Amino acid sequence: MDIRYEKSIELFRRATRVIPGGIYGFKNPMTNLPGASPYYAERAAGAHFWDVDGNEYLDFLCGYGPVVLGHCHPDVEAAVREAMAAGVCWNHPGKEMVQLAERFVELIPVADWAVFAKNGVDMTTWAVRVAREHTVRSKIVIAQGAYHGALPWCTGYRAGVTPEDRANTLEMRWNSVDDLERIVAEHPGDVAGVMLTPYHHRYAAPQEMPADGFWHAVRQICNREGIVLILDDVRAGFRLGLHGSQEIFGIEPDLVCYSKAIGNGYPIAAAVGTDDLRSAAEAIFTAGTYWYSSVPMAASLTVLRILEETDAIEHIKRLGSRWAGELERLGVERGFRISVTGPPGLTYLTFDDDPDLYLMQVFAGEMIARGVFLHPYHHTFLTAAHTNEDIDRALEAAAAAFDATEQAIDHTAAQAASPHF
Amino acid sequence: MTSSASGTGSLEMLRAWIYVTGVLPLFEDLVRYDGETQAAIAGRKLVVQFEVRHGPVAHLDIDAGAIRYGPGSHPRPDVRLRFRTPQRLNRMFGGEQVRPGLRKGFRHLRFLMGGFPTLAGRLSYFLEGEGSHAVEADDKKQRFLVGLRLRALLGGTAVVASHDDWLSDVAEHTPAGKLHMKVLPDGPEGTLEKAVHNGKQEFVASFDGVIDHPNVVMEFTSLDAAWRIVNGEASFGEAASLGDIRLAGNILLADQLNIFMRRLVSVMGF
Repeated sequence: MDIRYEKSIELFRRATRVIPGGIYGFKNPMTNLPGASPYYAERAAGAHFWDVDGNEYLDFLCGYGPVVLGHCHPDVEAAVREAMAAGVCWNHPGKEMVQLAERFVELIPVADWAVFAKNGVDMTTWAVRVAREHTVRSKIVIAQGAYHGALPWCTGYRAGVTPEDRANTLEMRWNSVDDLERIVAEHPGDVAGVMLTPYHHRYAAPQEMPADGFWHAVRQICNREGIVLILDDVRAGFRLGLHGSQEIFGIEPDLVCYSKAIGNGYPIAAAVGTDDLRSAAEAIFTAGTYWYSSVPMAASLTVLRILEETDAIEHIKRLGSRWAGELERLGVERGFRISVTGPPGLTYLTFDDDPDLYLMQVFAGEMIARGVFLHPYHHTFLTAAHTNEDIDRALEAAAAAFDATEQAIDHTAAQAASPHF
Repeated sequence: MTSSASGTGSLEMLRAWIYVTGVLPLFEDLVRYDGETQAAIAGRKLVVQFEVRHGPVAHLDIDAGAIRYGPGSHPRPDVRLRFRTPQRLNRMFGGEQVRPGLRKGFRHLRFLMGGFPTLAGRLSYFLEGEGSHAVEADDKKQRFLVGLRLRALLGGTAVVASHDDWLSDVAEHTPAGKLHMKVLPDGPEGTLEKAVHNGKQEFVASFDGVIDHPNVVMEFTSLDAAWRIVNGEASFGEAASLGDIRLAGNILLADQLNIFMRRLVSVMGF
């Protein structure tokens, strides 16, 4: 094991005694590069973070997406401190809930109302219930490989999930209007909702954009069949545009779910909808003890203000475009067949001849070793705090990482076993 | 072939599948290592077939001091042991005195009453009993025990993936590909593969050593490390995170196959 991670590994060893698996879920080391990546972080600021061993990283993952302005943004932190000073868990919601709902209604074209929770899956699950209540139907259509959260109805991880949990979740291939037509025909009058992300941000695979006419066709089918169209914009929302991803991709959803970027790291999720669904939304009893706290709502109000008043989103897109373009150039110059997919700032690198990701694992490991935290299976998240100098540093690391990857092809046991090189 | 694993009875059928198609092959390794097993079959030449009603069928070919496992029916078995229920077979493998229906092979009755229980007992001894302690064992025994466990793990996992209705959805969503496990520096090793032929999926474990184009490589850094993991003392995830396993390749395939492995352990206790 790399001695750079001595304290991480020692903490993990202790954790295995008191926490099943040491670290659960998508932050388990197995989901990254065990032994070649830190397990525990200690602090973060701007576009950087430090692990418990004191190693510093340029952060290209940013908490898996929530951090959009940079870690510990001073204005957001000030708003949070002020809100916290007034108490964090009251018997009632605070004025911030109303203010935040008003902001969403102002910003999002389809929004006639808004509700709030903590995590993306709170809202995607809630949206499913609204669609069912509105249509009095059961089935929900999602795209194969899409991530809408880690609850039984939608998780791709099947341990502890019964067939009954998944019985009303049907899967179509991304971009396949034919699949959607077939599913609707096979379940006449029983499809309540279609839930899709604005583009297909798959894990450990190239990101797929919507085909020309795809969203229009989906909308037409939903209109024809009385199906609620739900946009899961949890991951990309407010990273591509101030008015949600539907503006970018020309989508006309009935319900939209947000989280991640709207709180700059504070736990907040939102769903917005049209007036047609107001009655169904009102009928759903849903709650969480911490869903009403003003603290993350104060953070969100500040984030939305900064995104509106500054060119943060455009800055991220500019840096993201530069990173993607120059990364691709560096790889191609070295003879790799690679693809950098996804919208600017949310890109994922794949080696075209390496479906099992052996090369990406080496490349990401080399990037992390050089202090650029690039996830081997997850697309990047850049922030307003990243600078052109940060991209320079990342590209310098990438050039070296490509070189090291080329050398590693002939030398590592795992690679020697792979068919692809 | 299908089995239902949604209730207690069907769990028994799943266990029967694991015993007949995942555990019986271990006799091949057992007889190569263990003197008592060799003595129990010395001078014997016979084919014993195991049949569970509406369930698995396989045979053991005992000849010249060796045991060879064969899936399915043998054209001319010397003995046919027929179990009316999976429970009866499972109890026999669990060490209980169970008298299966003897369809053929009365002249081998003595071996069946004395010899075969000895074989089953020796296997149990090395898998779960006193003989399964590898920590202070010599290198040869440690290699044998790790190899036996690895074979039980991969073979049993293939059976679970093929026959457990509880996980049929997982099996269907598991990408096709090969997971190669190897104990460094020089084995033992084995491969678990999901293959799809003409739209039909199949999970197969193999132990031929050389493997082309694995989609996932899982290397145990030492025999000790391998033992801790195949013996259930550490999970794959923990072991990889602590440096006892080197993992590379298709993480999604590894994740999915790990679900079957955990299920095997919960169903069989090994």
